[in-house]
Amino acid sequence: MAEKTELFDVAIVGYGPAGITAGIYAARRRLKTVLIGQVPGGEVVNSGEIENWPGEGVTNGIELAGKLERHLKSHRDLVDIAGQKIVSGIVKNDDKLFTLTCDDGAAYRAKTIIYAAGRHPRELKVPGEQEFRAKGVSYCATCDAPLFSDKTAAVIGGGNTGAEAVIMLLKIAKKIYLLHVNDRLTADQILVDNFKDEAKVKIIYNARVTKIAGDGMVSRLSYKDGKTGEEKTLEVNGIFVSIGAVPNTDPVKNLVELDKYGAVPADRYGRTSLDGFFAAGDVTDIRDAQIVVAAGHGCSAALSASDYLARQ
Amino acid sequence: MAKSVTIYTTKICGFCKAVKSFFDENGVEYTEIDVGADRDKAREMIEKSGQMGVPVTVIKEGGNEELVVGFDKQRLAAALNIDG
Repeated sequence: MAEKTELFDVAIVGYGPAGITAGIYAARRRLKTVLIGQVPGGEVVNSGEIENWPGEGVTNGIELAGKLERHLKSHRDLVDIAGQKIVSGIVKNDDKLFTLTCDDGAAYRAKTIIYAAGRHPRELKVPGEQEFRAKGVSYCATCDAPLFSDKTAAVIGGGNTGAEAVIMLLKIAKKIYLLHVNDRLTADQILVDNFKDEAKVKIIYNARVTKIAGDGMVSRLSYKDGKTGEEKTLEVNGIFVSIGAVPNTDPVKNLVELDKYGAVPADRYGRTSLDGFFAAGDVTDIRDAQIVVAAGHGCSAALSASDYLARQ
Repeated sequence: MAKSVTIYTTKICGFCKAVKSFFDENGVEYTEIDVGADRDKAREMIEKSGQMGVPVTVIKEGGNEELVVGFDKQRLAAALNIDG
């Protein structure tokens, strides 16, 4: 791939709601922008039903991602979109400019960066997890739930993502276990109300998965009961892991100091400890990993980048 | 030789949409099979690919079949001679 030697005012890393909103605001400030990312909409496309994006009432991830993408693309005169690419490294040169390199060899130069690379699903890190990945172990219920028609599924993690996985599986699976690590689910009550009284759903509290096993495909999982210390086994055909997410900060681990969770510390204006390097959304130490918060953060980061450029 | 492309998908899968958009942008014709709606086709996909994740793209040329699991842009581009 040919190296792009043109110099951008802003390079945005990430094609999710934070990156896209940053792109829209950067364009409206007439900043020459490149947005480098993989899938338009980012994690929004895997969100299934979305009921908390203000103004939309009930929508879904694919629809909302499409709207965000189209809005950004209306600014193609100022925003170059380098899609289906993953940034693998960023350095700040002596001349204060940044160079970004991608996994396919492409390189970009920019005066400022807005790092909005998001998070990826956290793994259980138990024996059998890697072996049975995509053979019954899934990190995306919206993608894979339909394949478990009339089967038994376990959802690990009782937060909103896990609760939504259970709701999705209600119409599909024969039996559903929801395993949570302590004795109180963290999901919104409005979601839990959908299944707490359903006969086919069994919520297992104080459960920590210890092993995943099977024969070709997944057939069972073992967990430790936190109260009794007993090890128990469930016969399952599928396991949906929803125990949170890890920031995608490998490309910048030598560029800025990360917090203990591997996130980029950023203030509410998207500013980090490094001049010219801004960050927004789930990749930062933001408290609330919500689509609307990411979008707002992306907006602020773009305005910060714009102000920074004006002062150079 | 003409290549025929089939994608096994589920309805609200983001990576499935990414593969379809990639094909649409590059003028690749394909047949889509919704494995959520068709359990026989789901079984077929699992047997062919040895796994349960979507999307699964099957590129057939004569007697040969190449399988690409997930949104693997580089492999799909190479298999279909697309200039990514």
